[in-house]
Amino acid sequence: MPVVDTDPEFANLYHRHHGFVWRMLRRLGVPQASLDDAAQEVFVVVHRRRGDLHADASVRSWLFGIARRVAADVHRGQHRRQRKHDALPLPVCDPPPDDALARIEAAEFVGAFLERLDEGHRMVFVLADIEGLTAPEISAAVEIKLNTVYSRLRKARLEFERAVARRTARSKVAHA
Amino acid sequence: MPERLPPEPSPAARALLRAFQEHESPSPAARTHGWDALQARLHAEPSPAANGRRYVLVKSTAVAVAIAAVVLLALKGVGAGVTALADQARQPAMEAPYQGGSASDGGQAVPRAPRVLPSRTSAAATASEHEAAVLEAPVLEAPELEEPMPTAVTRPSRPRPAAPSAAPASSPADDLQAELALIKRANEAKQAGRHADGLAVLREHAERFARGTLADERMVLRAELECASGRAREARELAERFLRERAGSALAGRMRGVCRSE
Repeated sequence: MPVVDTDPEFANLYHRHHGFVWRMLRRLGVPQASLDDAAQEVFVVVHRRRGDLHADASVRSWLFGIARRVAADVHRGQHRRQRKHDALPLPVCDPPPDDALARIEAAEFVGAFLERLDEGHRMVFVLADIEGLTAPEISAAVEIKLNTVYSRLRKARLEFERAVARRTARSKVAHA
Repeated sequence: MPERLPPEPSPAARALLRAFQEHESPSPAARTHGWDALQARLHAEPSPAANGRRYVLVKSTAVAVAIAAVVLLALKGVGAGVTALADQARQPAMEAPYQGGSASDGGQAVPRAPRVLPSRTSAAATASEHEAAVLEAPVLEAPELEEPMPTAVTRPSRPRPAAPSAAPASSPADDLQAELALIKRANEAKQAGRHADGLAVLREHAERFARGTLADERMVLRAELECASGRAREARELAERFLRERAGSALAGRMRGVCRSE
């Protein structure tokens, strides 16, 4: 007999926040190939500890804390054995569809910008401007002072606006 | 002194950040697949509540057994004492043959010792030479031949229920066949341009054979499918990580070509 309940609140929590957890794991350095497994691990912990979540607490701050611990576990356990087989046909790599190119380029631009930021500024910027967390939520999630959140966010936004302006200028030159 | 609120991002910045978020997000199929896998895993694992109930059940059973044992021992002690006193009062001589004593003991009550029957070995020695020869071997059966304690309740031994037979474990050869079938399906899906199907099959492989023999093949195929699906950044990240961690892999050359041809 299955012992797990099909709690609708848990299902709702999963479907609402799966993307957030997945992206956070990615930003926390979990390899692409391990993202699905790591996301599942986060929600197993969430299922086990969902009673710990207080009504007045931020769900995403709580999820971020769990994701951070799972990501740390993933980093510790990345030693996998190497097995080799060469029975597969040679690769054929299709180019991406045209309609996706603009989105890919925009995403790559933001990704490259994030990689230039230091860890502290990057996480605050991602949580605020990509994930939409409030400053108090970020303060709770990352365990830093509210003023530090504001100062890091201000600096990261300023840097980003400058990078966007340079990109726009380059684009104009290219199309001139 | 409190910090001032930072200025909001410009519309151009917002548009780029939105594109980034969409690009970084898992597909709806991945979310659905993840939910199915999560449900399967949660169904397979006992919940903490069930563990708690089981713990309480085991603990109360242990306490009940301990209490029963104490009560039984107490009753046994009282019963033995009562029996000894009654025997002493009525037939003191009855104990003599049993105790190996004599009438000279005067019927003195002695602690009852477990009676040891003649061992099967010595009895057999008088039966026949052949049996004696066989039974001379040190079989050490004496403990089995001791008569049970008088007050002990002996029950006929019942055949133990057969242990539930474990599910037949799949052999490594079976696993490899299954892995090969999945990798082949993923490859066929890739060749047919069904990239999402191919990725789904690879997820199934990752779920069933996380550390399988064909894990490297899965990673290469996944990178190729990510690239073919327009997620060049993910594909390149996969490739870079693979080449960093598995530099000596036979598939390293193939991985180097992922998303580099265009």
